Amino acid sequence: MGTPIKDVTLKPTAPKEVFFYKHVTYITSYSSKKDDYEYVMTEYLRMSGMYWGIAAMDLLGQLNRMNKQKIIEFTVSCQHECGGFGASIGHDPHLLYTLSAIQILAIYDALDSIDVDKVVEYVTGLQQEDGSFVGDKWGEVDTRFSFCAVATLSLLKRLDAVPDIEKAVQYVVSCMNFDGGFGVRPGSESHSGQIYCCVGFLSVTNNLHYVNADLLGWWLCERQLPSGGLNGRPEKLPDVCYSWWVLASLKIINRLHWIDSKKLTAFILACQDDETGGFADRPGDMVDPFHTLFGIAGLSLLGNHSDSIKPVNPVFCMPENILTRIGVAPQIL
Amino acid sequence: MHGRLKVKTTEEQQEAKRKEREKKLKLYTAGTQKVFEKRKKNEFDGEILEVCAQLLSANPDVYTLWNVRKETFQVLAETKTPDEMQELYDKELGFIENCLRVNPKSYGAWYHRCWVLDHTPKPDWKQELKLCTLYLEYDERNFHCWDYRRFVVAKSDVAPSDELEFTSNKISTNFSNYSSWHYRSKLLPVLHPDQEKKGRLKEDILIQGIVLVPRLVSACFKWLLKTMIDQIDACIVRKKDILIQGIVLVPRLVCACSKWLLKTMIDQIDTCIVRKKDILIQGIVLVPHLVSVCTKFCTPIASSLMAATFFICALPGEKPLGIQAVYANSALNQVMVIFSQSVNLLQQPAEVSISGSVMDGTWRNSRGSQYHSIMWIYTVSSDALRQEGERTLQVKLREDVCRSCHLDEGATECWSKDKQDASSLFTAELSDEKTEFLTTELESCQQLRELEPDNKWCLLTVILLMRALDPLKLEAEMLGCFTTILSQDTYRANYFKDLRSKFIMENAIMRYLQESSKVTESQVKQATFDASGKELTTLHHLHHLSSVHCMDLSNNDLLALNDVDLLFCVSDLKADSNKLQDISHLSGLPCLETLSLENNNISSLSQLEPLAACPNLRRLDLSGNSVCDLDLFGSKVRELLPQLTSLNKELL
Ligand SMILES: [Zn+2]
Repeated sequence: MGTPIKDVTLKPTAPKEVFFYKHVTYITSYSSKKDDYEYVMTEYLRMSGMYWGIAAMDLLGQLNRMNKQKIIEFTVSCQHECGGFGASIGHDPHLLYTLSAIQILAIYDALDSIDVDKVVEYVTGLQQEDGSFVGDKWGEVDTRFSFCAVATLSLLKRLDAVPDIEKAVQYVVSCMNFDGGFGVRPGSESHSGQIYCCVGFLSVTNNLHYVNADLLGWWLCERQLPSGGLNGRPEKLPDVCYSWWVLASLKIINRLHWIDSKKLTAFILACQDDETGGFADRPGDMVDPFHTLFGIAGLSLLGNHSDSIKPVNPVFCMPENILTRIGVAPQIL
Repeated sequence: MHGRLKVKTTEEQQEAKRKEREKKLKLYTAGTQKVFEKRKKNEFDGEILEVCAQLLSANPDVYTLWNVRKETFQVLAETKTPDEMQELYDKELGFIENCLRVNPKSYGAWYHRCWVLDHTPKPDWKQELKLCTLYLEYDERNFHCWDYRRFVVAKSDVAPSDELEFTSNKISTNFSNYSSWHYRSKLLPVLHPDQEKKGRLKEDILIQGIVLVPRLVSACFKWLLKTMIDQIDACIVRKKDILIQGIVLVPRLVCACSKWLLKTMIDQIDTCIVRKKDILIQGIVLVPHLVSVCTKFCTPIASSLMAATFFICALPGEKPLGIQAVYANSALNQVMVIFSQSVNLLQQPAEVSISGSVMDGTWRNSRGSQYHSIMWIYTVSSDALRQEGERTLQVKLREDVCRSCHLDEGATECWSKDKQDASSLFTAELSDEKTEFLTTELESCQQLRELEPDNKWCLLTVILLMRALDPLKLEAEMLGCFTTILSQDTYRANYFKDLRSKFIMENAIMRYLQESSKVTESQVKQATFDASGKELTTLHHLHHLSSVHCMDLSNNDLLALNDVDLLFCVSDLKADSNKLQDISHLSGLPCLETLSLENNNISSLSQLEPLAACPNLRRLDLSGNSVCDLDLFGSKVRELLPQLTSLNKELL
């Protein structure tokens, strides 16, 4: 008749400290195993994978351990004629990887190595009549792409190039639900990842007044489970990446204090692998770069490891100092 | 990347896995190369489809391969007949289904399905709807599949009532199905458009329907409990024979009862969803939570029912855009405007005119930020506001969004604002019928509360009902409920403290307005708005207090003075004995003269910088803050705030 509560229990032996150097080793060695099965099978998201690794290393203050020259060369080589970026050589251009590429180049202060006008042309060309954005020329519509579009343009300081910003805003607002959250498209169920994108979109475009912060904040803080971890939707398991999306959304709407940050810190720390370094979605699972970035970024937002992790920007999931350098300051309530 | 358990393996196993992966890897790399080569050579044929299919079966997330398939179909469509294409697309749908079986959460596979159906000459939507139903049986929360279902429904004009029935069935198998509740929130307004404006009849039926439920639930639960206890007792006493009878009987009763309960609950929540705005409903929505308490499905159901609760409190922008208040002050040379919704006058300025001629000036919002705000302040750049004689001032954003106020001969200020009826400011007006209903409701909830005194959902319901019924009279009891919730749900303690602060503030504002309406205007000016000692953690609704001159916020738990920028007229503000660190919201308050911040957590001069933008600040008290212990404290404050005449009760 009902779903029993889904959660995990943290073992008393679970890690309670940040394995700083193990994470550094994990990320540097991940990118060196180019013939590894895992590595090849994730080729289709390489650009985002690199962003996860680079952003994580920068937050740990260890960016100098990455091969800057090679990374920039690779990124530049993934730009297509149309201006968009593919995930890797041979892969098609898409907004998801275009944002990742721009984030990488922004972190390395290397935006001058690409044709920025072409990127702007590509991104703005994906806006539809109803204000939404498609991810690429094949026409899939998703509020994630609305976020990717404005985040990319914002990092390029070209937000003014959006063909119809008012329609873009109204489209995202039309995806708002009765619980204050947002979904993939109008009519879709609220989902933490999507909420992050929509709240992020409204932040980048200075439109956070559309958010019902008390209502959304309540839904978001009810995502915290007894283990301390946060889930992405009701009746789901806790997960480090959802912890980030919920946490970052709460930060943007100035309601971070509505969850128990000590409990969440304990959960994130318990998701570390004490042998290999890196973070998994849940304690005891396999680690990956994706959850490693969101684990580190989550700890940064929670603010209790400021000696070893730089402050992260909740909207862009990049170190704050990068955005300060570029001169981008998304709205925070 | 999700849900892959790390398992310890022997070296032998590792070696076997390595070999297997090596083989897979070779095939995968060779296949990918083959596809990319053929694509380069424009060889869009059966072979490229075949190789792509093999690769995607193993890894449906490789988006480029889905694109290659789409390209291939586009090329093939140029030469093949519609019938031939139909056959190809039918095969493609079968292939996608196989991929979805491996990875039912693949964005690429689901979108490719949409694309194929958009291109196939004769789409079979009925079949697609069946597929959705099947996949929602595998995973009732798969949001990709729910979204695909909505795509199919829209394309094939499935009746919303059919879809509602589908969600009903889903909910009866699992009450916690949040996805279904969500879908209903979209379907019900379509099925019952404009419910609020329809006559009394509907409302009566609605109330009747709802009234019964809690009573029945409560009665039913008691009966259930009693029956079960009796039976179990009987079993214990009479042993074997009856024991067997009893065991058979009880589950049947429970089952029958819960099915009935379930149906009633669903109806109840639906009515709430339809009649979104009515505060009456607020309290009722949580009732099913109580049922869940009884049936021991509490936590899981809780979150799905929050859905319904949310709905009631939700939906922004319900008030049409309008101007709620205009205040002009010729001494300040400023005009303050409060809107019913956030606006941005930096993007679209409003026009301010006096006796028909436009006054030049500049707009800023109360925070001095570039963002939307409900309060805007216009600083007039000429002396037009200071002219002698009787004048009419008008603020106009649009033809339908404008407001005037009248400056009498010799007057330096004037107000024009909506009448604020204290009792209906935060709650809806109740008819006798509604009051009776809510009272019964509250009684039922209180009974259930006796059974589960610590249940937060029950307590929340009680709180909401009390607020709808008589927020002022029931204040003490409401606070008691909050105390219990706070001891139960420590994870969200700050949420509930902030919610409590909101309700306390509502009460304080209602009392203030009630008292103000009984006295003269000059007495109102001298009256202090007192919200001291109320455990406030945050401030709410301050725009209702924009005309208040004296305010006391002492002895609370405030870390910041959020929203005090809305206190346009405040001249005397006390916020002693809080935990204040952030006083940035005081910046720009034009009338602030006396500020007392004794015993707070102000430790550095930089925290005081916002006060430099308070032009009329004369008396500042920071006693008991560690900032006072800094070297040269006095002279540094005087340097920062030359307008002061008194600091920490000493004349400067
Ligand atoms: Zn995850």
